[in-house]
Amino acid sequence: MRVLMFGWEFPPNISGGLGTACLGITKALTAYADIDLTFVVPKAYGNEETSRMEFIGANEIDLIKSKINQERLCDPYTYISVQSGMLPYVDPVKYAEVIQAKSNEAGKDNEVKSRKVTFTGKYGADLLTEIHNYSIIGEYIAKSGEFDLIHAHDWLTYPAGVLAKKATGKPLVIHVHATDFDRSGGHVNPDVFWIEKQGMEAADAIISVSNHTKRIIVEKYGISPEKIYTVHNGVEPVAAIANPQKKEVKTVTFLGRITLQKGPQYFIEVARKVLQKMESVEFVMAGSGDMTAQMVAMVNKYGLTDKFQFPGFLCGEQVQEMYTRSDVYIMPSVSEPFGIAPLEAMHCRVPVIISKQSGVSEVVKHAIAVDFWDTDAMADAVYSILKYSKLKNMMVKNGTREVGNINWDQSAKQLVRVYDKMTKCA
Amino acid sequence: MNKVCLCIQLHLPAILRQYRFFEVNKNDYYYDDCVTDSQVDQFYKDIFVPFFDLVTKLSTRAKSKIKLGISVSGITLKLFKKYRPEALVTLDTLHQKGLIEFLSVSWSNSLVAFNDSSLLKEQLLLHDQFIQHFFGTTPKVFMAGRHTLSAQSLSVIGEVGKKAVVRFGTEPDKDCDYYTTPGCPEMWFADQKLSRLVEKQELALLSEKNNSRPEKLLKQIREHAQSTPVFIEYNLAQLGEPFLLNRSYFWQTLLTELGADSQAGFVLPSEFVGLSRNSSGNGNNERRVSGKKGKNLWLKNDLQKEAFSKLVLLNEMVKACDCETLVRDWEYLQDKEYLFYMNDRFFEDEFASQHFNPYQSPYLAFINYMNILSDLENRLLNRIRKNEFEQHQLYSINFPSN
Repeated sequence: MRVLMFGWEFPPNISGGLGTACLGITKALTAYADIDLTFVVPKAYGNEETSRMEFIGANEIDLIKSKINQERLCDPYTYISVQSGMLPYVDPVKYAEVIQAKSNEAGKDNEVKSRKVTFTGKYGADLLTEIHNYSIIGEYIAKSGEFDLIHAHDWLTYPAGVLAKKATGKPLVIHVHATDFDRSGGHVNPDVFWIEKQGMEAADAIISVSNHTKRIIVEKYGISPEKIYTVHNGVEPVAAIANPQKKEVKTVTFLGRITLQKGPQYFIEVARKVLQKMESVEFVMAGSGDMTAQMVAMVNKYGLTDKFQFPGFLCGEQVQEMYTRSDVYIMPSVSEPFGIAPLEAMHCRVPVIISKQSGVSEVVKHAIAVDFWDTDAMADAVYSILKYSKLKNMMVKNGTREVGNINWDQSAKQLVRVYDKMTKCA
Repeated sequence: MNKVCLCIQLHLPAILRQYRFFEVNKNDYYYDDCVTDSQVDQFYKDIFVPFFDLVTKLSTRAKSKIKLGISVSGITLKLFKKYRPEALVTLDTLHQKGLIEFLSVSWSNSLVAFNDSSLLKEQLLLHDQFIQHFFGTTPKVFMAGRHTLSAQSLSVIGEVGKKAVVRFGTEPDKDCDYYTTPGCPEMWFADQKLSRLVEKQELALLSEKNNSRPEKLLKQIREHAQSTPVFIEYNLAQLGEPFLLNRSYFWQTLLTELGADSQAGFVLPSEFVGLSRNSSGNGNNERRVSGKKGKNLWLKNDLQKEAFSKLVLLNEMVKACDCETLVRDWEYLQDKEYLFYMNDRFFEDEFASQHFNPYQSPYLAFINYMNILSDLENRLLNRIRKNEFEQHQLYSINFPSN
């Protein structure tokens, strides 16, 4: 089965969990001998781990060779690449000679050689334009190959999936990693909503990363539950750093984007309550986002500056070091479609407290799940884990065992079932 | 077929309220009266009334009179009195008719009492007082259930006048020689297998996995009861599910068939002990039937052990304290049901769906309970210090240094 997969980011060039999930899914899917995978991102950097699948950057597609109707693209963001007319520094006499020589060659080789679309592959101000252009290129890629199924990850790639389906008639599976209701805390962007809704309506099957997300898809987008399949995410094992430094102070960690969706303000409320009863505790809010300044101000206002750290965005080994240092990990997300980070923390032998409004709470029993707004319950859990070593040890022991059974292979197995069903129906 | 002794266990705990760590030393009320009221009410309407209605109805029809042993804790009696006094009237009526015999148990459904002879004695005497007060009788047989009994505990049970002890298991505990324990009441080691089968059949009914019929169970009971009397314990409150039609049919068939069996019939616990003595030829009956020891649902994992250690500590502190309010809280809080809520089996979906637990996870059960015990500990400590200070003051007045 040839699967054309559209994604927006891919490790190591990621800014969130979407890329991590795409890596896990593709790695597990490529283990199936009968699945031939082509993965498309807006921008390929060349450093991606892409063994056993074809990896294409939409930015590499030549518009001229591909004969894509460029009028369909949003021009102001189109990058034109031609043979360079720039010259190294020359004196005026020499310059005149060179110009003359070049003008003599005019008509021979002065045509545009190639034309490509620039993509940042990020989430900037021109995102909607990039999404549109990506969909045009995606359609071309779909038509160029013999694919049996199209799989689009998250709203950014739904338009590409929809156009690819229209062009080829092949079944479309969209993978909902999050909805705008999760990201915006209910203040939905109408453009994003419509892109999501159109993608969901056009899809033959919808993969939701949790039942929590499935409910949102049904209730907020009016989609029939019959075509929605819940496939929980997996996690790649993360090892704690060996022989960590001993420390006197206990560490409570938040690790994620500092945005409304992730509920950072609740973490600070928890800190305030715990610190009223416990002294040797530090709180670390690792990550970056549009609420960072606001959170720093909140910590100042509560007079907790000396107990708080904001190390910024962490990646790679820094994340491992952070988990290793932690005594408790909290994910107080307001709405979290899944949440891979708590599973990574559990791999690193850290007891975790998660929001009930998260998909991950559907798959783990050895974490403490509380409502995101219930900072009393969250603080209670933090205090008890720090106070009672038996509680901490039992959560760590059971949690490590539990998370060891959660992997991407299980997710891939379920995805393949959906693929089979869709291709047989087609 | 021989006789059958069916014992019904009735215990309802006082539901604890959500008690946070920052309330310690600030709030000394631990109970969620509203939820407790609702639980007692629900139990009464959905389980208690249908079950005992069935017993009453069948007792007039069955060839052989239905008789039951009832172990009802002091906490349950108090809760019935407060929220559903009709339940006490029902039990009294059944007792007056000779259909039930009350068993001796610890007043608080306590586990820590088996760790301390003086506490156990207090608990048994208090329970006797309550049974006497409500029903005008005193239990003769102590229901040990799955508890391990030390020689000291057995002596205490004998000391407070109990003639016999019924305990699950197939043999005495290794560290306790019942036969040489002075004042030891008569021991009866009851087979747990049939009690488990009853519970299993009930669970099957609840999960609707099959059309569970009592016939198979009846066959097994008859096979077991060929030569010796059969003892079955059934926890009426454990499942917390309504006594619906299929459960009613199950019990109706079971009770009717057993009652109708020409040679069988029901016996009360005190009659049962007598029968067992006659059947084995001596007072120390040793059953030969198979049956593994019950899984320990109260004191197995580290959370339960940690909480239990705290209870042991608090017990010592309570002894040094004369405050009635504190003692009353202690009587409620030593209920082993709070340890049950922490057991690992609540991580299993099936078990969790079939058994009542006010907490969503054993971790949350532990956190809440430990917060409450911490507050009780501080209150006890304050009281003990106050007593010491008053003693010191008194001493200073009586024996001034100059």
